[in-house]
Amino acid sequence: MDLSIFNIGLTHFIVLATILFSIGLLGIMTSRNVIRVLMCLELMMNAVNINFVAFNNYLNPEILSGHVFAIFILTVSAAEAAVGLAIIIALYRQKRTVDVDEFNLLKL
Amino acid sequence: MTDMAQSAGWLIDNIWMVPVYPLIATVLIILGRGLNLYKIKELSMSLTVLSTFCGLIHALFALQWMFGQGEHVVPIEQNYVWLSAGAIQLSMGYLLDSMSVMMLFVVTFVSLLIQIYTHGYMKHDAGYSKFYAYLALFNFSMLGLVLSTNLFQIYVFWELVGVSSYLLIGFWFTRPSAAKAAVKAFMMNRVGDFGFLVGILTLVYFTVIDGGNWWQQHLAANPDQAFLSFRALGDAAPYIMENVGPLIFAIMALLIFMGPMAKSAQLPLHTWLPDAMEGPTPISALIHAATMVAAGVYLVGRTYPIFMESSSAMVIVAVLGTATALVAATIAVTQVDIKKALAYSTMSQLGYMVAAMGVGAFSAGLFHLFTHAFFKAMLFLCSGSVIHACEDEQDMRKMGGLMKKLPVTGWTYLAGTVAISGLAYTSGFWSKDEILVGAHDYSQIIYYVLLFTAGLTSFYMFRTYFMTFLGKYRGEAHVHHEDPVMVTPLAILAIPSLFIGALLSGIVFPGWPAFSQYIAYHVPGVEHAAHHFDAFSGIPLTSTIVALIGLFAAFFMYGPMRVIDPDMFRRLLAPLYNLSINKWYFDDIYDNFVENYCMVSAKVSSWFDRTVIDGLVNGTALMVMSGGSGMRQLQSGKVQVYLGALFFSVFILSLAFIYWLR
Repeated sequence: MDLSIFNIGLTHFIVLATILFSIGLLGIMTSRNVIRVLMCLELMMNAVNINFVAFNNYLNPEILSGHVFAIFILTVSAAEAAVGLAIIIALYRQKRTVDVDEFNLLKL
Repeated sequence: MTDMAQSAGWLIDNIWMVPVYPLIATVLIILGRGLNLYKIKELSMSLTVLSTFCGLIHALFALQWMFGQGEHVVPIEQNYVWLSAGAIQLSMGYLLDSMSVMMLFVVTFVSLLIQIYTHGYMKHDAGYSKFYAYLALFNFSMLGLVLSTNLFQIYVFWELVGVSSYLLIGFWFTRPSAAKAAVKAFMMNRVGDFGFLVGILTLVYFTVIDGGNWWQQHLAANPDQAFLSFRALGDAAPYIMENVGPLIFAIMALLIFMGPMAKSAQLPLHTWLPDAMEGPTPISALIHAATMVAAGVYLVGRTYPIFMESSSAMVIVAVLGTATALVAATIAVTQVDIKKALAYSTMSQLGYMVAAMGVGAFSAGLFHLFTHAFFKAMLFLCSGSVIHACEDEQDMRKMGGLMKKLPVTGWTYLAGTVAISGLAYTSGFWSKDEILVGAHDYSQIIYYVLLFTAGLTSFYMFRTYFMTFLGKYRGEAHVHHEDPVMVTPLAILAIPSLFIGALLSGIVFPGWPAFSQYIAYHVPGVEHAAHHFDAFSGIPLTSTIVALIGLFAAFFMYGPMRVIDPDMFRRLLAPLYNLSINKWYFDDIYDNFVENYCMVSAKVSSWFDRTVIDGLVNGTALMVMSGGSGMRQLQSGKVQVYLGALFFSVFILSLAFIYWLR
């Protein structure tokens, strides 16, 4: 697909990724609900994916390593989401809450 | 014949096994303690005796090897590097020359007989097997010491014999006096060993660090020698002398001499030896009379090139030896404990040997070591037999007339007494008179003091003999009969005690090898002017007369007739008597010193340790702790705070990164 008529370059993709990343970061920092934290985490991960694909197209489009990376990350993050949700369920059974601030077992 | 020669060669090549046999025996006895097999007591005895016997066979073949080589024995030296750090390359090995062959023979022969004797002496002791394990451990250390090639190796074994001696003195550690004596022996030896170690390090410093590595060239030229090898000292000593001058050199020699000073009980580090008699009597015979205490003299012999280089160090050695001989003899005169009397006699004889080394009568000193080992071991074993028969009574005032009950002991004791007094061409006569000849050439004062000591020796030795074996029995204990296991070694030891001196003197049997031919100190390049010892010249005659005077004095004062009452002398010479009975106040001075100075400084350093050093350590710990609890405040346990911190720092770092890479 030729995007040149829209005059979209690398910068646009980076800006998009940065926006996504920042939204994710803000979400993680501010939400109390663990599920939302997890969702924001996925958002940040996708920002990274966009970066990978964009830079791959920009630097050497013949080789698809960036794309492959993106697909790997998607796969891994799917698995990770499954594990993360499982942990959250286990934690919920323990604490009867999904509030992040209640999960402070690391503190002495 | 070829088979014989082959096996002899094998025994010589594997001479390093001599110390290993007893080590194996020790390990077997200690590890096998729990096995049922070891319920049979004799097993530990057999193991130990077997190990020593194998050593004796090696030693005998080594003797044959030595005599086969004629007068100039080519030493065999083999070294194995143990650890090396730069210029310092420490090695272990074995050195076979006439001196080590002689010592090997003495140590294995005397310890074999003593180990057999021990079976009779310790039969009813609960620690029978343990005793044999210690005996074998001692044998290992002593034989290792004898075969050492270098100063470092001899220091290792030097400490090992010290440990064995400590273990054996404190063998009956439930007695407070034995435990104290063991600690005292250990402490006294530590003082000497410390000096010895500093001496070795001084030597290392002056040959390695100060003024280039001397050893590198020397070892390149003599590949069979090792770092600190005794055989290299002849070249090392003049080199050091040239570099540092006579004063520092003499100090270094005397520091090395501090080792022998403690181990051979020389003034002023001698007070442990009489106390060491708390150990079982076989130990007194083996360690504190025949072998270990002689190691000091052996070490002086080994490091003789160093002493030869410094005449001032030699004077001090000679004077200390002579003073020890005299002081110990005067103390022995008033002792009533038979073992204590013999202990002071040992000290006095060691003084003779050291004095001989000091006056330059090298072979005479070692010859006296050789003959003394036999008769003094025998005398101690006799005293053990007496003590055993009298139900652990050691006070000679409660003995007397034991000749009838203990004939073999009595006769062998008499033989030993005659030998140590140097009467009638017995062993002591040859060796002691050679020392006197050497002393006569060196200094008249030393000669007369040693001559007087010879008279005293004869007096106190015959005094112990008369008090113990003649006259009427004065004790209450029932006297047992002799144990054949105990008197057989005595009878065997009596033979070398009486005759080995004449055999090796080179005078009585002209064709036979003479001791002084094989063991002599040759100054390289200088034709050795041997002391021409004439058995019928003035000095031996004088010393015999002096010894006879001692004998008659003892006979009149303590003999069966009692012509002169010893109490008269006691009153007449009250100050001298007090000096002697109080052992010249050495122990009191030391106690006083420890009480008033050592304890005070110990308390001060203890206070310093507890407040300042511990304060520093605890302060450090406190600082870390408070720092930790401060940092702990940062650990809120809230994930989002951590995350914020993480991203914030990444942000700062990337800013910095961009700034620097710009």
